[in-house]
Amino acid sequence: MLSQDPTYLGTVASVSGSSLSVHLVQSVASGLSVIEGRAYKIGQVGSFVRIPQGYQDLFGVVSGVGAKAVPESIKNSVFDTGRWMQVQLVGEAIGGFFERGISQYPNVGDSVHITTESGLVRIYGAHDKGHITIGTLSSAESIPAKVALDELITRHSAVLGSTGSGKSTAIASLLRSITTSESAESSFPSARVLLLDIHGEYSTALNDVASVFSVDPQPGEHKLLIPYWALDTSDFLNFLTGGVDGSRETAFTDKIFDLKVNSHKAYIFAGVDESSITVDTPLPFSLKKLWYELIDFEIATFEGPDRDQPTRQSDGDASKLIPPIYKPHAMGAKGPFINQQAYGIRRQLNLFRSKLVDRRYDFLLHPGPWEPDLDGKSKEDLDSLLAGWLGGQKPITIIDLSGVPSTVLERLVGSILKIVYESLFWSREKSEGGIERPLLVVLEEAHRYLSNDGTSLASETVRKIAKEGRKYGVGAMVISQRPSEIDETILSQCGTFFALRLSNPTDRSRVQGILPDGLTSLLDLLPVLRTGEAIIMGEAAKLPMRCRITLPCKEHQPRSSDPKVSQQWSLPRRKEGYERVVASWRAQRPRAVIRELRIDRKKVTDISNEE
Amino acid sequence: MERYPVTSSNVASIGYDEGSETLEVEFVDGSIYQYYGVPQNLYEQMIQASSKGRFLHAYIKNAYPYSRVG
Repeated sequence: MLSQDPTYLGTVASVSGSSLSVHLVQSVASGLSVIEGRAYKIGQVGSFVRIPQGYQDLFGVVSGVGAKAVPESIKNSVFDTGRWMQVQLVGEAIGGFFERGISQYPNVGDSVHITTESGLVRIYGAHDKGHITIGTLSSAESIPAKVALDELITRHSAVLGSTGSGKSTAIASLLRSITTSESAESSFPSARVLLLDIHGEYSTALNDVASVFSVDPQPGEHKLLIPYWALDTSDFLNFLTGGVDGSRETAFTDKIFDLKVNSHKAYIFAGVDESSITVDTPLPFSLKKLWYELIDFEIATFEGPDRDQPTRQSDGDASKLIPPIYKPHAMGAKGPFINQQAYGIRRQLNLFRSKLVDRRYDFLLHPGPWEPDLDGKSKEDLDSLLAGWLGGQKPITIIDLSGVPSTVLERLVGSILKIVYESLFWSREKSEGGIERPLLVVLEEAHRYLSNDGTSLASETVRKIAKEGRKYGVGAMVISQRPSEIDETILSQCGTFFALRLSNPTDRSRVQGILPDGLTSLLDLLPVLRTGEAIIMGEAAKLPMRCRITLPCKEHQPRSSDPKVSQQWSLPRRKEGYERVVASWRAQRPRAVIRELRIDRKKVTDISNEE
Repeated sequence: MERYPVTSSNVASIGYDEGSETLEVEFVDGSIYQYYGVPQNLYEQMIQASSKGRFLHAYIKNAYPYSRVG
């Protein structure tokens, strides 16, 4: 009589821990059941089964079917039909409410049923506020896949998948569903997202909901500038001088400290108490002045009986980075004599100077309106910088880092995150702070700057965000195609995982390590997921779910920047001029030309051909 | 059939420098490209063309070297 019920699959044969062996009945031999007009495939790995226990229903996930799922004890039995199924218990439903974890085990002989769509709605259909829809379940396309926004942001998340698995489309879709959620009970006008876009893929896809900052801005975008004086001094000095230690470092830090104090004395900054200024207090100071005063001390020579009369011949020019000139020192008793107190940092100062004139670092060392003059007066203060990054008109801010040389990428990412995190950390009791208006930081191509051996600024800052960001309202979303290359601490702090297609075994094992044992079989699917399909698991999803992420409409899809090889190679050869290539290389600017031409352009109109 | 001027769907403005045979095109999205070694008569034909975008695509884009300049 049970076999009359079309959802009936079989009976529980053994229970051990959370794992069940289920013996399938003959009636499901076809592998297909039609229930309420819909066809259900039987025994799909990853699908759900229901085990009614009278008052409550237990739910489990199919983890294996067939010969391998046969219980050990009867493996060699001749009577075995081979129709066995391995099920992992995941939760139970009492009434309409699904909960993870089980309060009782099923018994041997209990009947096992297919979970129909109405059952799936019970599991996945979260009606509470604060859930966003990101796609539909793969097993039942009429059921929306929802994730809990609170857990997604505060417990951090990771999006992992091989190239071409649809990562960037998934991100675009996810961000779009956060920012343009239409339903009345969940719209997020105060959403705040900072996206570090390494390849410049997102600016077109999200242009209506995002403001874009770029090192090489297109029309309508803002220029990305980072005031060096807001950074941590020791790391910045490392970059500037190639590493200094001991008394040499003190020479730099003492001078920076003096310059910062002078700047504060001259232009009083709110919140700063002169006695509590440290070398790391974000106050403006002039790098050119720092360089000039240090080099002056290094190269000075003296003469006179007490060897204390400077022999300066010309003053040089700090703003043009021209050092002063002294009489060359001479051996013997007459002098001029070299400065005995010199620190021996001329090599570091030379490196410092060459960084100052290198155009690649302009965004950092000559940050436009944030570049202080020689007296330490900056035209703009940090508030306008933060207002642009964190308080823009649009909910998403994209920092487009394409076109940044890879040697500075890591430092740049670190600097941006550092400035953002510090400001939100210290403003935690203000309405602009991270607790009142939490921030999601999306880190694209994270393996490029959060590597395993990370002692870099970027790794350190992200590690800090991962560990304590939750308390101060900063959440990270780490995106990568090489999870095995990402710092373990960072990945292990991620609460939610979106695993897209992943084929590399080391990467897969990294993801597999995250799930509880019983459910790892779900991740065996990883290499065969379709493009745009993801397994979502962790804090933001009640249960691991396989879902298809909604594709944004065509013009809102991220642009894949792969060159079209076959199309380009099939073109007839154009005339080429490699002097243009060299000009761009030397200028370190993709849009450089050999000769600047003044060409007057006229507005053009087309002639309509229509009636 | 009535023919009247309409705004081009992707070319905003064009200019030409005779000395260096450089054609400069500003697109509607704001980006500016220079095409090198473009003969003047081609530029003049482009001015006359009823669709600048289509002319550019058919006769210039895949035939002359170019560089994005702005």
